[in-house]
Amino acid sequence: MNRGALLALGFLIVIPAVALLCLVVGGTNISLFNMSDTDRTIIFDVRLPRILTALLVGAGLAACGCVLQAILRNPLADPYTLGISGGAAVGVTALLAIGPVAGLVNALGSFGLPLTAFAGALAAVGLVFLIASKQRFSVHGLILSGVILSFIFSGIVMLIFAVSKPTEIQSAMFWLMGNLANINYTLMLIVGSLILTGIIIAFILAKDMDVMTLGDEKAVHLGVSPQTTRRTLFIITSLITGACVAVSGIIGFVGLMIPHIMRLIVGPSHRMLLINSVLAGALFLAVTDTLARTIMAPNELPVGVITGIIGGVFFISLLMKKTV
Amino acid sequence: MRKYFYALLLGLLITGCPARKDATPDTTGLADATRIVYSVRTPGRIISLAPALTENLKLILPLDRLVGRTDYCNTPAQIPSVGNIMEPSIERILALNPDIILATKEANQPAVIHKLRELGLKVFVFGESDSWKMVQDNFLLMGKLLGEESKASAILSNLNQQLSKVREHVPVGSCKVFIQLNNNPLMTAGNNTFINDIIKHTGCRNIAEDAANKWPVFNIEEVIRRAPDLIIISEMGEMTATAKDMWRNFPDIPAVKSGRIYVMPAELMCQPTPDNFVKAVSQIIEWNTK
Repeated sequence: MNRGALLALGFLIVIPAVALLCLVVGGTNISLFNMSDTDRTIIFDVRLPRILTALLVGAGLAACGCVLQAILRNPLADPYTLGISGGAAVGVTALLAIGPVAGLVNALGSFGLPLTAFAGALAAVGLVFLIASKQRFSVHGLILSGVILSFIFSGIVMLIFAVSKPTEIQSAMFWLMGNLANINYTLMLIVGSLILTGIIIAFILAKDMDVMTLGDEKAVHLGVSPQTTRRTLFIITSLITGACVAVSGIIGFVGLMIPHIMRLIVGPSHRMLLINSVLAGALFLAVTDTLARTIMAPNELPVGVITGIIGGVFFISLLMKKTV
Repeated sequence: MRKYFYALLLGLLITGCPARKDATPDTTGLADATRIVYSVRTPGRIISLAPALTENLKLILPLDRLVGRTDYCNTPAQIPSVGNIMEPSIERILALNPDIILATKEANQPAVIHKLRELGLKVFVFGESDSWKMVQDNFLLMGKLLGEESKASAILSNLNQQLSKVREHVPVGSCKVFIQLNNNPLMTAGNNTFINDIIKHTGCRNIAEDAANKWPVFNIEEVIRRAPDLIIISEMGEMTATAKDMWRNFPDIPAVKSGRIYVMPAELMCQPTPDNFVKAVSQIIEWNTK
C-alpha cells in the first residue's frame, strides 16, 4: 500500500475515536455510561449534530480547496476565492437588515439564515459563471470574475451595515466569522447529502484534475477538455461551498491549508490528495470546533479564529521541515 | 477574513447593548470634566451622543434644551439627529452651536471626542454605568452638570423608595435567570454589567455570571446544564419569535417546562438609566412571583 492509502486508513480509524471524544468533552465532561436526562439532551440534541456537521463542513471545505487549487492552478485558491462567500454574506446581511421589514425572518424561522446564505451563494455562482463563460472558463477568467465580484459583494455588505440597525449588524458579523452553534438534524441531513454527493463526483474526476495541472494545452492532447472539466468542477465546488457556508458561515483556513498540508505529506496525485484532504478537513474542523466551545467555556469562541491560529502554526512548522 | 474581523470590532462598538466596549483606560480626559462643569454654569444648548444619556436628560429636564441627538435616541422628531453613535457628523454638531456635548466612555469614540474638543467644543464624558451605584452616580453628575442637582437627587430618592418597595416582594429561595440578548449568536450578559446588577437586585442569580467577559457568546449546552428558572429575552424585533421558539427544543429546562420565557423591552436592559433599572427589577420580580 502506498503512503496516501495508509494515511487515509489511519484517518478512518482515528476519526470515529476522536468524534466520540469530542462528544464527551465540553464545558462539563459527560460519561457515556451514566447519563442523566440533561446529559442525554446535551449529547444528542446539541453536541452530536454539531460534531457531525463539523465533520461534513470540514470535509467539504477541504475538498473544494483541493479541487480549486488544481483547476485554477493557483496555490492561493480556496473555497471563497470565487466570490461564493461574498454572495452568501450579501444574502445573510440582506435578510437580517431587510428581512424583518418584508416579514421574511418570521416566515423562514431557523432556516432563514441557511436559506438566504445558500441563495446568495447560488446568485454569486451564477454571476461568476456568466462572466467566466464569456472567457471560455479560462483560469484567469474565473479568478478575475470571482475576485471582482467579491469586491462588489463586500462593498454591498458594508453598505447594508452602514445603513442598518446595530443589533442586525451584530448577528451578521458573527455569522461572517463562522460558527457551528446553530445546527439541527434536518439542516445537517440536507447539507450533508449535498456535500457528500459533491465530494464523490469530484473524486470520480480526480484523474482529470491531475491532467489539468499540466496546463490546458497538454490536457487537450491527453484527451481532457479543460473547459468542460473546469466548468463541471466549478459548479460542484460552488454547491459544496454554498452548503458549507449556509450552515456554518465563513470558516477560513480549512479550505486553503488542509490541501497544502496533505500535498506535502501524500504528494500531488489527486485521488489520494482529495481523499486525504477530505478526511483531514473533517477531523480538523471537528477538533477545532470542540476547542471553540470548550477552551473558554461557558463562552463560545468563533471557530474560524481557532482554525486560523492552530492551522497556521501547524503549517509553518511543516514548512520549516520540508520544501514545498 | 481580517477585513470582516475589523468590521466585527467596528460593529461591536456601534451596537447598542451587548456591544459596549469592555472597560478601557480613560483616554478621553474625564479629568477635566470638573473644569467644564464650572465653565458652563447652566448649559442652554445640549447635544447628547448616547441614547442612555438622552434618557437621563429627559428625566431631569424639559427637552427644549436638547438641540441634537443620535439616530438611536428616542426623542421627538423635531430634535435634529447628528448621525449614529460611532460616527456622528462633526459638521452638524458644529452647526448646532452647542454649549455642551454629552458623551459616554463606553459608547463613543475617543477620536470623535478629541476632534470635538480640538474644535473648541465642550465635551463631557460619562464613565461606565455597570451597577446601580454607578448609574446613580452618573445621574447625579448629570444633574450637577445641568444645574439641577437637587432635582436629580429627588428623583433618585424617589426611585430608591420604589426599589425598596418592590424588593419587599422578592420571593425566598433561589432563582436562576438566563438573559438572551441575541439568538444567533446566543449572547448574554456577564458579570460587571448593568443587567447583572438588575438580576442581583431581584434576588435571582444570573447563570452567566462566571463568563469571561461582559457580553459573552454563551454555549447553549451550559444553559441546559445550568437549568434557568426564568429566560428573559431582550426584545429584538422580528427575531424575538425565533429566539423564543428555539427553546422549544429543550423542554427539560425549568423555564421552558413552566413556560416562563419572557420578553423585556430592550431599552430597560440596555439603556442604563435609574428609571430603567427600577422598572426592570420590578418586572423581573413580578415574573418571578408568578
